[in-house]
Amino acid sequence: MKIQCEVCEKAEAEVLCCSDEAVLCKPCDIKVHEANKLFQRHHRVALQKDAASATTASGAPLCDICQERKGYFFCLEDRAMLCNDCDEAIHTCNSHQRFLLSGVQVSDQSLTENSECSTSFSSETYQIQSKVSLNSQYSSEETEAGNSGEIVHKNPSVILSP
Amino acid sequence: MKIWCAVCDKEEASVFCCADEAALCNGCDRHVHFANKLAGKHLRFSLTSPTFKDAPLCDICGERRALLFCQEDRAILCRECDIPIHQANEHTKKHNRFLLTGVKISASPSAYPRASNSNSAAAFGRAKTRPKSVSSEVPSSASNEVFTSSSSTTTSNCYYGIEENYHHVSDSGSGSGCTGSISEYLMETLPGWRVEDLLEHPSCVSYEDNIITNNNNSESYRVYDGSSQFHHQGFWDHKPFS
Repeated sequence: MKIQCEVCEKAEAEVLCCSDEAVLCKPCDIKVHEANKLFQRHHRVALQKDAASATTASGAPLCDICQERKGYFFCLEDRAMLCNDCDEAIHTCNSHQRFLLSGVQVSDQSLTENSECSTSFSSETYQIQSKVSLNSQYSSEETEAGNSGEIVHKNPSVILSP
Repeated sequence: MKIWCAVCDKEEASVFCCADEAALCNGCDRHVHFANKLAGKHLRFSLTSPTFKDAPLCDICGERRALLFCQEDRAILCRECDIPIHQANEHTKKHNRFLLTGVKISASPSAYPRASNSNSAAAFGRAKTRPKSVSSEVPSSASNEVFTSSSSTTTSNCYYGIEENYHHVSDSGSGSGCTGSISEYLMETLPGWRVEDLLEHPSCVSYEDNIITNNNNSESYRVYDGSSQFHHQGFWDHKPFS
């Protein structure tokens, strides 16, 4: 199952913007978050279509009960992912809220650096300016800078592993 | 967030088919599941588009909307609470986190989502299909029988009603007419007289003649006496003799 971009409503969503609580495709993400400096600071996460372990080939996780079929039903009260048959057996008498799991996962990679790299400005000048601005701000953002450094450092291993 | 239709990739999905494991829009659902009888039996859940009020909140802060579900932690988290947890060490980074779109599933599936046939009693999908077909046929035949019997009853009621009316009219008319008219006439014309006496009219005439003769004799006799009371007694005494 695919999730639609909420801006253009045409392309498949590839990025989750936590501040906007919206999913966007890459072109719309660039267009929206380059509008001004405030939007550039929105924290965005890439969405993974296919995941590694404990999931089937199409990306949906296995059912928590039978561990055989794909789990498309997420019960909010039980906090469980169930397939159709197990969900039917359990929720015939209950009135729990159930959501449809699209099978789309959230990756660890933060897209803040990537979005900065993809700008039309000069990369070196922009990075220097960003570092200066980060250093001049609070320690929490310095911590974020450290985290982003770690993430950048680990990106090559992630790329090399597949 | 919207989930796309898996067939046309253009519309928003409004139905989830368990057998196909795909989300479909209304048009594609109709096109796919009305192709043949087997496809028509697929059970489908209606999908409800997410609203901001019904969105579940984060398990940790309880304030922001939960966007992620961690499979290992069994928790729904917002992004701000997710970062310090899943970037703390190497083990938590390996957790599988899924995106919660907020699209809800209806309480019970149905083979005809538009027709709104809801039947959540059966335990298995196949069992669900057969009771539906049986229940859909038997009530219709029963209702037809009821309709037929009701129509025949109505017809018979009309028939009996007509007969009763006819019988009632004829009976009451003839009886009341004959009796009422004669008795009324007699009561008005001759008060104090009996019907039996009037029916014997010829004998009455002869009787009167006899009375007249006797009256003449008695009158000639009474004239000499001059007593009216005695005259009446004589009149009544003659009657038994005749």
